[in-house]
Amino acid sequence: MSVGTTIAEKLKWLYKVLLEDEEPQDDYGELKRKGLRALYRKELADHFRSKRFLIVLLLIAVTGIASVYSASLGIGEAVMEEGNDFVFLKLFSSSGEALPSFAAFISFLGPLVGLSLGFDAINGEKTRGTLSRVLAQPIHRDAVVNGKFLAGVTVMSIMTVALVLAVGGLGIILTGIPPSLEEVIRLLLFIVITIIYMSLWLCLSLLFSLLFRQTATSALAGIAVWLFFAIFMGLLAGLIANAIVPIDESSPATLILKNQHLQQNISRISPSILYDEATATILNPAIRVLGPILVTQAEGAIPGTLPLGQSVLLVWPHITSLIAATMICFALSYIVFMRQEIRA
Amino acid sequence: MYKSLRKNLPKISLSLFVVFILLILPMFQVQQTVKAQGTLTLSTAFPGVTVKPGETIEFPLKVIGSGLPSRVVELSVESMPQGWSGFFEGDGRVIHRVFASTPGSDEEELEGLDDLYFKVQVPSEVSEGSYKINLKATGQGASDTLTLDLAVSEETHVSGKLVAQYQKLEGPSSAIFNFRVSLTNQSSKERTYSLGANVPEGWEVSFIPAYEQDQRQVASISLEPGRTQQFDVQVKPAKQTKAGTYDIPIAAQSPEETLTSELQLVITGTYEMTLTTPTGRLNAEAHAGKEQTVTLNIKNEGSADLKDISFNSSEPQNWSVTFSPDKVDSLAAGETQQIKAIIKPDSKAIAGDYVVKLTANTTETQSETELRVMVKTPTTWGIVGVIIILIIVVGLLYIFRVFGRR
Repeated sequence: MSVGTTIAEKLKWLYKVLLEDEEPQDDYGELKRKGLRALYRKELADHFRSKRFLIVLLLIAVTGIASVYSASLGIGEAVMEEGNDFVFLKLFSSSGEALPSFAAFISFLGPLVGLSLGFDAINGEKTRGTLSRVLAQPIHRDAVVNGKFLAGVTVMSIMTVALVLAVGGLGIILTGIPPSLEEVIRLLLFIVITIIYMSLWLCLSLLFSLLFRQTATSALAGIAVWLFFAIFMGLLAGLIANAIVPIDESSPATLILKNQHLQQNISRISPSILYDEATATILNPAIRVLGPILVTQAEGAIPGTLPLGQSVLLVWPHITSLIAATMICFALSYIVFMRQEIRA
Repeated sequence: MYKSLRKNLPKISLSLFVVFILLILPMFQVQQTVKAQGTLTLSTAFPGVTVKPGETIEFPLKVIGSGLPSRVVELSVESMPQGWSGFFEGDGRVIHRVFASTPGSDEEELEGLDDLYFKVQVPSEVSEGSYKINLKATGQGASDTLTLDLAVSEETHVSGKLVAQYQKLEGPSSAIFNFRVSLTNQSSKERTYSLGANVPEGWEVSFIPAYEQDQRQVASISLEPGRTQQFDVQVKPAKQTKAGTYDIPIAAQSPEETLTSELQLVITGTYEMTLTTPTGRLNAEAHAGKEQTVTLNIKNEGSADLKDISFNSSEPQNWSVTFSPDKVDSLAAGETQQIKAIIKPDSKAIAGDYVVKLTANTTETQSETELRVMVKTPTTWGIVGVIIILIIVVGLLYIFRVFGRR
């Protein structure tokens, strides 16, 4: 059975390879698929049994539920201030009195999920000496890295979907407002973007686990990058922007705007910022523009909501960047892994 | 017998003479009394009257006889102009004999004799001038004639008055105009006037008595002698009445006379127009930096023609709105003209809704409409994003091929 050309056929193939118990037909395919499937299933089983996974799941579940509960308490005010549209989405995007919003929590803790699932993927096995044994089996070498990546994405997808459904359900109970069709579609998009975002961090930690021999080092490297992007990138962007375009209180508006744009563009190097902007726009249709604009651009504009297509178009570059960064990270990991010398 | 006759002849002739004398004498005496005492008078209060052609007039007659053997009097028309007609009327009937009253007769006897008239129908086609009618009353041994002098004149003396308080009112065609008019009956009889007015087609006119609680419309007014009644002539012009001056003749008509008056209404033109889209939809979609044509309808809803309609717009900065045609020279009342507005948003416009105000102006009036323009982001960069992802996918597949399958 060949891979197939269309996306549907490819997905069917992947499903068959990974999950179906049907015996492969030809020898070559048998070896390959057996290897990928076996490794994928082994990785899934490992993740679900690990205490690490449980801790991370509990962490984001508790924070997520807490934030939605907190948001639902303040939803009345939000409706008063911003109007009645898309109330259900406000559960995810608006922050309560005490806690940040659900989206903000995922933006901050999502990288932790990706990192925790991948930081010791390869070097951990190397340390335990299991990798050479796996590779001694009649399987393709890339099945290892592919399996680890696919299993990680699967785990994170299950986690995200489950969490969003859980907090969404909780939100319906707390507010009594069912979501509209557009809200459901926007939530689905939010889930997809979240999975891509977490996958990026998974790929990055996979790369670190290949680059560093010690698991502690790769974990630290991952945490360093995460904190840098999540917290310091914004500060650094401001510093760089001020250095390139110096402004003070008496600067003309155009210069200030230039500074702000520069700062924003620099901060967009951070995947966290990209994710924040993308999810904020998807979850809040009232957002029409990202970053500062001149007053003249807003002249004559009526406050209103954007249709879904326009919201997606607005953050399409963000989504593209996240997908591209994820793929590049994976490609790097793949190349590094394939070229690495693995000794028992 | 003969001898006795002869012998007695003087006696007989004497006695015959006496008898003759006795017979004649009283007759002679009676005739003398008739000639000396019997009089008959036929009279009317106003024997000379001015009349209009076609009019019917009544002359109340009085027949008085004194010293007559019989008070029955024969009435007749001696002469009347050609084409005229007349008859005696008493107690609602045509009569030819009347029982003459005596001078100084008591009231009771006079009653019923008052009701004697001579009715004359003046022909409607008669030239002006003086006409005479001779009437004759003939009693026993006495007669009298009465000459009625009728001066026919087109213009007769009018005894009523129909006066408007303000003869000329001014306003737009949408208004309702009330002319206060007073009608006076100056004659000595109660008269009923039917009211009428002559207005252009489509107009409404009604007569409403003044100072009454409920606004009743009346068609006629009954007035006692000397009384004056005020009423409103309410005129409601047709909606699409063009500007100008309109004369409205009004008339109050009674059988005896026709009172006329003229009202004047000056309709000032109204200037009104609306600017909207043919479907009434006031939103449009446009892409940033790209022209979008919106069709508009301009309608003249006033009663006057509009001249030199110009258009302008108020739009966000860096937007442009042009009109095609950019000017309408003239638009007749009730007409609609289609124009196009070409809206071009700023090339850097942020996606979302904007307000563009479009205004049509003349020197007299203006109409404004607000258009909600939704700016959409061009999908160009979306496609670029897809291409970038595709390139990376191809690169990944290439990496699989080169490095995989070991």
